[in-house]
Amino acid sequence: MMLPDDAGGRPALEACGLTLSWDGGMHVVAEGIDLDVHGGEVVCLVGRSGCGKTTILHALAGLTRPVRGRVLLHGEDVTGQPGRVSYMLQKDLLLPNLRVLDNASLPLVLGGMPRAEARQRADGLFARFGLEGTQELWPSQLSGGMRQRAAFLRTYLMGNEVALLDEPFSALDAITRQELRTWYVGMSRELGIASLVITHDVDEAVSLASRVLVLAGSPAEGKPSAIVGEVRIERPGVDDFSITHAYVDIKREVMGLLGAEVAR
Amino acid sequence: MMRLPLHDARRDVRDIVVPLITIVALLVVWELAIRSGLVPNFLLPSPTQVAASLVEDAPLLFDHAISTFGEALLGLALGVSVGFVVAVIMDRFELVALALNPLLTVSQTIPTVAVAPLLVLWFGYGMLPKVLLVALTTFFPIAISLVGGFRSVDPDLIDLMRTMRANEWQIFWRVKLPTAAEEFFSGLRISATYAIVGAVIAEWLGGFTGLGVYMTRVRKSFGYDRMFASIVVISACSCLLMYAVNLLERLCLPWRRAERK
Repeated sequence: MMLPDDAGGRPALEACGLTLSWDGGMHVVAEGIDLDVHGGEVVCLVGRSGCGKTTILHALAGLTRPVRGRVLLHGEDVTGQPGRVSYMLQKDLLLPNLRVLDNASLPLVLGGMPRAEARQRADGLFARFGLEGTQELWPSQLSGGMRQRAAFLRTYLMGNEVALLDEPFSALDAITRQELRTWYVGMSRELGIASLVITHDVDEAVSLASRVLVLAGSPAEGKPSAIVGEVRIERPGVDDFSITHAYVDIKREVMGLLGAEVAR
Repeated sequence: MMRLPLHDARRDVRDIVVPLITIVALLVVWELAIRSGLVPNFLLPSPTQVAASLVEDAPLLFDHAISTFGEALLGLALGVSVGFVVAVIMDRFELVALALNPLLTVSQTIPTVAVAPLLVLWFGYGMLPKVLLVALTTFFPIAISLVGGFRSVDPDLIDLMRTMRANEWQIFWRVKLPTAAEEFFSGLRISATYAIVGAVIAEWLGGFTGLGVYMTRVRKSFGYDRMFASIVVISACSCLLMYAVNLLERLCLPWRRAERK
């Protein structure tokens, strides 16, 4: 499942034959997971709820160890090493007791940078992340969309070239979600971040990604999940991709791979 | 809809005026009940008699109150410190939590009045037994509230901190402690009310100064008006301590005010 050579050399992140389990190996959730993400690329891993998407992301983030397989970062084995890739969980998880600027600069402070310097560095990115003027506010004073932007900035300041995002837009309203998706794709491309986004929303996957990986299986019923297909998305140069025939065809293909009944 | 400042000001006035009217009404009814002879005066002094005793004995009451307040503060500081350390250890080591949980619960079933004479017997009539009794009564709410607070931390937040390469100390300082702070202050409010009462109970059983000692003396001389005066002072000390805790909470948790708005 590698990109063609012209897509840009060695992948930033690779998963090689991952087998993951719950209950210390008793219950296999996913097996034979191979995937890769290149710098500046957004890849979506889509699957039904409960198929093990978050478990895969946890393993890629180094928070859990796979039963088998390896996680490679620019070719280096980082299996079971947290902190090597940035991870943004489903909730924004901003610390309520820190001002927005301190929340954003937290990864730098934790890494040993003096607070004043870390704040200064984060402050320089606030306008780019659409957060200007919110530096000294508490997280509870921000809207859902702004909180998510602050979480994106914190993820970026973790300083890794790979970002794992667990349904990052699910808590937002439809318009904010659309705005943030467009903004994120542009920003990650500009900054060269390799992003792996998991979602159960096919529309979100097709709107966001240049490739969609489809995960299918039912671990709760003893059928471990596996990646059953990959759909590449070539975006035509139109204002709204979501109202094109190409969009509908891609969505149908993904739904088909997920095993859903698709109306023709 | 935005709330107008005038509306806020009216609400603030109402919040003060309504309880004030209730207290004044209660005092008027009490005074009338004594003056009309509905309740015999030898059983219950009137509010004006209590107020007169309060003024008359003010210097003496002040000295005793300082002593009680000092014991309560020292005991509270000791109880909070020990409660904090025990809670941190219980959170860090699951086995310790398992071992200590039943002991903590049993320790709270022992009545303060039963322990106080033992402490006086072991440590004499000085300040130490009073401070220890206050520490014993205030320790439990702190330990329990902190353990609960540490356990209420969102596990996802811990995972996030790990992906930011945070060590155990950083996770404790940046996530666990602030999360538990709100529950800690709830526990501290309960402990603060126990502190003054604990000190007074310890003083009843023996000592040279303090409001408990004063109460024992005036009870023996049937000075009920003075008894009530000391109750007023004890209540005022508890209110003062509660106010201090609320103030401390506002200072330590500034983000809570933003959340309430």
